[in-house]
Amino acid sequence: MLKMESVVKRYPGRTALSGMSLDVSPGEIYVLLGPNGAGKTTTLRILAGLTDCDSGVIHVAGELYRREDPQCRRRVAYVPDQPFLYSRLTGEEHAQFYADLYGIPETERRSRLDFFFNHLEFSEYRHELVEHFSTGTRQKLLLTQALMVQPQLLLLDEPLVSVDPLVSRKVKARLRKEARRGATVLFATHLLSLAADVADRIGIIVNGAIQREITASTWRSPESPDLEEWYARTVEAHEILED
Amino acid sequence: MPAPLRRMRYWKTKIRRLRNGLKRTSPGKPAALLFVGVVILGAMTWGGMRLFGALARTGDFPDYFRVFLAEKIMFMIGMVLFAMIMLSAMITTLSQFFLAEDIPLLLSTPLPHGRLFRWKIMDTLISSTAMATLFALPVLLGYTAHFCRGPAGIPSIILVFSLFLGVAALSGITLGMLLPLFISIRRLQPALSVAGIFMISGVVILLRMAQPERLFGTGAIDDVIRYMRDFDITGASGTPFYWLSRAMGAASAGEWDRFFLAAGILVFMLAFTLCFLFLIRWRLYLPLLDKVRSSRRFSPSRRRGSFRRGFLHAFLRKEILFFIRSPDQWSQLIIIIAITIVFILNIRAIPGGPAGMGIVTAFLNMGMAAFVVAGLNSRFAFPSMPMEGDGVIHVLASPAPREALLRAKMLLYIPPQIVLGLGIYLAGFLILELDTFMFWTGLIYLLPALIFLSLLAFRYGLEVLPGPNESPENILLSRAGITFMLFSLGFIVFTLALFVHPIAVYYLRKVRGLAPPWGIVSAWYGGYGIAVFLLCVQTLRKCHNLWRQWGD
Repeated sequence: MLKMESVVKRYPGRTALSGMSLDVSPGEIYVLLGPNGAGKTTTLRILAGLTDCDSGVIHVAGELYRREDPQCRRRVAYVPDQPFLYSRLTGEEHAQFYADLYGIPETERRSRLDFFFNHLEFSEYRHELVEHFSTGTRQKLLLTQALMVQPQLLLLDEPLVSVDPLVSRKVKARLRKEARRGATVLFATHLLSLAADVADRIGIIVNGAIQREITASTWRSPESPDLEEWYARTVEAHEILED
Repeated sequence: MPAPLRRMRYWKTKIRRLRNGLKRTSPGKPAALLFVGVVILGAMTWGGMRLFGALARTGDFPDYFRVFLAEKIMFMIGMVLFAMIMLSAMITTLSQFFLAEDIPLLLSTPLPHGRLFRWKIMDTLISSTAMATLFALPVLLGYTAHFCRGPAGIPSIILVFSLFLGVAALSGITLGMLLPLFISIRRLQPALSVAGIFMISGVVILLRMAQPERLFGTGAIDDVIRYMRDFDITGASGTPFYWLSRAMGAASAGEWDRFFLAAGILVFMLAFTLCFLFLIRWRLYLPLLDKVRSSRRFSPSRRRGSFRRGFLHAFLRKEILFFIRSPDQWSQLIIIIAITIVFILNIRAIPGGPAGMGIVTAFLNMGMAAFVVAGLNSRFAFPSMPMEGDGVIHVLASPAPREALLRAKMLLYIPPQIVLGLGIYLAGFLILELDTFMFWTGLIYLLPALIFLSLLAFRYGLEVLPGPNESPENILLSRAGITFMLFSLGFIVFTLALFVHPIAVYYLRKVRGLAPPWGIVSAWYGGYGIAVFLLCVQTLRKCHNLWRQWGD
């Protein structure tokens, strides 16, 4: 479903991705873990079409991914790490606008909107201006938008940081449902517990490349060290190598 | 910490915030603003000195009549100032007392509520009167320079003016405290801003419609008295501006009995307003604050929008909703309409002169129409892309073609501006009753120029990357904004100069009874058309290139 090969992205003065390679299957929830500045957000931004890579190849659903191609971007939905929204639209208007951009038919979007506003417990904000939303409510709206367009590749960058635990649990269940539908979910987070809860596979990214991949069966096995240990070992090992 | 020092904390923080805000701007910006401010104030001071100087020196008028006239002028100025300060204080009260970000923080500290209330009153008083005072200074300077008598003159005028400012601001604060009892603040604040703009535009049109040129057209006292009578308002004796002008007039005439009566009434008004304000403080403020803070619901529309599919439609709808919900943006339209009305009234008031006068006026009118559209562009088209803010991330990451948003914005902003620009020119053209040559000249000049100016606004607007909560004013004062304004100014002046030659040749030959110089006219107009067309193409390409780079 998603295949990244040797993707490089440089910013002035630093390299964000230094040959990132990734292969995620349909229906898989893949979590990117890593220290600050490791390249998690850059990976998601490239896949969302917000920026271009300098070299490397990306395939989504078996087709070469080109950010200029609207058909490629139609398969992808992105929830950014910062709850960026148009402040002077109401919750419903914002979601409608987003659905328009993805060409969701009127009949379907209505039922999906009703469902997600209720499911994520913020229907009372439906007709309220986004500028009056709390950070958590903004994140709920971002999630609603991304989930309602039913993308093939769902990109989430720290989407549950400000969301309350009960809704967070619902979102995690929803992500599993999305995966069962056949969608690929790529998730970037710092929260190890969240990663352990939802991921089928975890990639630990350091200095712009995946240094270690761990499957759920590995970290859940009683003989294996826990996720925190895996994370610490990978990052520290890399730092020693760097030194 | 001693009490006086604790009291200073609020102001220290306030100054620090201002200083940090200034630090964030580019270093040249405060200097440029200061320079522009000094130039404007200088020009106003010059105007004030000239006005009161001319009044003081008019030989036909007896002394008492000069003082009477100056008093009437101060009455009018006081009336406008009072309305401005009161409205400004009302709007500031709503934000300072109810919506300010620091209110929950300050209320959660051991700070006595009484002190918080006094700080906020002082803050509102200063911020709502500062601008009006600054702009009243040139008038006061002109008045005191020509109408002050004796050493007590200046201090007495400063005293009554300060009292007047206090009454105006405190009345506004009191009303601002009472209004949330009846109307939701979140709706009230933008409504008041718009009402203020309506009021100021109304005053400008009213003053213009009163035809002040009548004052200069006659030397007769009767005409002047008739003119001044237009401003006599029933019940004015209960207003602070009436007593301000009375006190100033009395100080000028050296009638100190009358002065002390007027000043005493102003003191009474000030004391009464202050007492009333402190009286309602505890009964109203905190309960109202609770009401405001708890009522977060705001339902602009519960209508279920019938969204049709299509990117352009989606973007257009979003733009229109944004525009409607940004009173600070669309209220500017009211000002522009007021200016246009005054402009058309001015054309009508131009006295009949030599035969070429109408042609010169129409020619200048072409430039005026272009300037108005450049101004509109700087306010609307230029900041429209940066004002997308961080939300643009959804557009960039969506399947919508990148060009769709830019195209929607151009579609929304360019045609109405062209219609307005051409409308201004045509209104002038019809009033001046000119020939078809000037009609076509105006059309040939304006149509390409207005399109180019709008594209130029988008081109420079795209150089400003979007940030959170950017206001149009801030965006306009960026480097790209200033470049756009200078560029458009240069373009208008240069292209207007290009049209002098063909117009002059055409009318000179016409006066001499010779055949019209169609060859020269076609060459100049055609050359201009092609040059501006090429500029438009180049600017449009640049727009697309810049837009493609967004998000990278």
